Amino acid sequence: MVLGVFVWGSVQIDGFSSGPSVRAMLVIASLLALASLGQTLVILVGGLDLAVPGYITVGAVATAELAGTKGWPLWAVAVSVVGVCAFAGGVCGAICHYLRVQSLVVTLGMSSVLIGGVIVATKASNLGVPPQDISKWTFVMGETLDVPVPPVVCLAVGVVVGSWLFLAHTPAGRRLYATGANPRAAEGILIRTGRVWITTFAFGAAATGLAGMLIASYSSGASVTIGDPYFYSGLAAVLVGGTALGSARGDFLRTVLGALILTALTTILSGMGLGEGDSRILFGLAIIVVVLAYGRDRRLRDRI
Amino acid sequence: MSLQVQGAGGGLTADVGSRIDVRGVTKSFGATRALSGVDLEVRAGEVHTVMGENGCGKSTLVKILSAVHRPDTGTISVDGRTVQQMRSPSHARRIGIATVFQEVLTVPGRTIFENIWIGARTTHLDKAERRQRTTNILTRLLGEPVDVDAPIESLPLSGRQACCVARSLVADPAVLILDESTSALDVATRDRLFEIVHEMTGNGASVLFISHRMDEVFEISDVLTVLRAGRTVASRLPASSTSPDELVRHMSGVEANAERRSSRPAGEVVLRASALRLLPDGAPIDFELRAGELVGLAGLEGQGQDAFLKALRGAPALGGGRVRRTGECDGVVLDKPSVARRHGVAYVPRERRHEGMFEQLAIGENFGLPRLAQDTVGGLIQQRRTFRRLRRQSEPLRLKMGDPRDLITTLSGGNQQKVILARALADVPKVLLLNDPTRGIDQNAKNDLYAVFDDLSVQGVAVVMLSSDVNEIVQLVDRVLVFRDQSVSAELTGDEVTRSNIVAAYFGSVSDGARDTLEGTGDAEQNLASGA
Repeated sequence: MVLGVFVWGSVQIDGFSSGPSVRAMLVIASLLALASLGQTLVILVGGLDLAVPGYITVGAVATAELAGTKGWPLWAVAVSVVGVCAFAGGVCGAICHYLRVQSLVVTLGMSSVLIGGVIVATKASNLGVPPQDISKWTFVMGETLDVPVPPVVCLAVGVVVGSWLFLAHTPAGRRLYATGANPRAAEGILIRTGRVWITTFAFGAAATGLAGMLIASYSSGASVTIGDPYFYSGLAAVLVGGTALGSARGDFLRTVLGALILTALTTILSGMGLGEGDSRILFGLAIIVVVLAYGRDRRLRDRI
Repeated sequence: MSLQVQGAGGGLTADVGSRIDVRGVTKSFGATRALSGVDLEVRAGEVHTVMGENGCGKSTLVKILSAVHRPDTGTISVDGRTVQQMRSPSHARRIGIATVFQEVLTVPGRTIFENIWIGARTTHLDKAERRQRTTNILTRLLGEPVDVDAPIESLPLSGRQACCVARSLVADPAVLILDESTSALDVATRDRLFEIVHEMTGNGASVLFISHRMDEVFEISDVLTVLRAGRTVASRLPASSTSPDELVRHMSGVEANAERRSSRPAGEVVLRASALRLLPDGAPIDFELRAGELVGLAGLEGQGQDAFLKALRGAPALGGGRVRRTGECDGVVLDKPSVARRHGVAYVPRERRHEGMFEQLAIGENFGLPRLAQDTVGGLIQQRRTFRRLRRQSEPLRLKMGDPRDLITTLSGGNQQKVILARALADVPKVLLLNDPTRGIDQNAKNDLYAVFDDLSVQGVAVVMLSSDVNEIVQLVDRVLVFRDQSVSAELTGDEVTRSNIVAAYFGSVSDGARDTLEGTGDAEQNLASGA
């Protein structure tokens, strides 16, 4: 399907398959995919994370303000972002699991708390610009070890391999799938499902916060709404990739493929003169179509 | 009216009087051939039972008759209509076919009334009429008035399944399909359902009945059809002149073996429960389990046997008490399931689909989950190790499977249960707790499991088996605890383990005379608990 979209784009738009164009699409798709890693994991464990915009905003604003304006070293900013986001994510996971509250509600609230916190902390003033050290990660014409591939793309590939190893070949990954597939049975074989939920939400939040740092560097700045489009597009990438809500089926590679498809489609539509509004309509339609297709085998009404 | 439309493979005309006429139906799912040629004729006013092992095609046939699936070839006429014309289960229901499945399909958070009418399209009834009809049917099924506005969770499992039955009955169907749906009903509700079934067939309706319980089958059926490996191997056998042995021969080609196993000397005490109270004001239960013993737990549904079994596994009992692992474990208190597992106590849950297996995961993954550390080297799971362990465990269980990478849902119910049992046995337990392990699986798979339980007890494993099937309790166990009102009403040992004694204990103190009467008239058969 990815190839089909690229072939269609090459036929429709001049220069679509040129080196710079492909690099630009790969950078955008990589950022989208990295911002959706946490969402992928949370969906696999049986939840839904609406706090993604909050985590991205924390990462992006911290990069612009702490690293850009105040001159903090990037590692210190990264540690802070991981700490704040992981704590917020862990709290969400714990509340959802132990108090049996829908993750939708808890993460929506957490997103609001995080973004509100950022507004309070920065006093809604003009934010700085991320330092050069991090911006080179997302240069479209950047190189990785003298190979003409932008570093963020290599990072995304590395995360695909790492997440595949983790999900398919480690006990923790297997327990994550089991918890998402059947929490009752998982508890029956003594998997600590509470711990799985907390660590998954915390890890997902930290990863999304770090993606927020890269997004700030790509955007050459940050705002409190910087995470919004990545939430919608990221969720679309997860679902279009084939990780279905409540099914414990899927992995991060599928999310990357979903991100590639959506990025290519957006580029094609832009090239054809359509604007952001059309792209959003496309995402909405893509989610509806895919959910309908994946949902067919789960219809309870066939049995009632 | 007799309208007849052909399937893809040709057509035959339905006989006059046939409510359902199935001829030469085949159905494949990918490379798997579920039905290879099924014939079935159900006439008006009869209870027609379809029997066969798991995987023989019963469920596929039911789903075709309910319009969930469509046949590849063959002809199906239902009161003159064909399934090709029925586009959905709701359409099937509108033309008079209602199906109740084995799974208890209720919607949590909704009332009993809403659950019964969910999916119904009865525009000709107003709400008051629907409430009246709901109340009437539920009162008949449950034997007492029920608040239909109460949440569905307020009912026990049997009551919830009764709601699923009521959901079909309110539609006043011409054909009622009961697909192993009695397995979750307690004995009294099941008997009331059977009365309704007799009434329905007396009025000309047809009932297609599927059950793995011989006692039920012979109690209710008029005629029997047997499927084996997707084909009809015996058609329209009169129930009154067919023996259980004959039926088993048709299903499996193997003679039935219901002999009671001989008791063996038990070893040292391995588990001891002291003053266990299943309710805060319940009677205390003291229990000792010895190595090599096979103990049965029986009782009507909700009488405490389930809570007792879970307490033996380390789940706290409501009224307190202690369970200790004695012998080599030096009396360690089992206060958590994790502690029990560490000390050699394995547990096989009751509801395979909800509590036991992971439908989205492969056979090997389902098996390997509890012992991942054993298969992990350098932080990564070595799948080959899991598969090797699985193959080792699967041999004695006669587990039939292809590639362990296949989803567990590709296996029949019996083989799924064997995977779950293999998973428990991989811990090499000293005490094995089984919660209705043969519920909803075919007779051959049951026999395989019986042989395994017997072997385990010979090897010195203490086995406690909760069962809703009195036959297997009589056949297998050395001792049985019968539960009533959250306490043990009788403990039967050796030759005392008979159907009549167990049934009598279900219902409290029954005099010897009454007990003889029960057994003599065959009512004992009717009163066998389904538990669930």
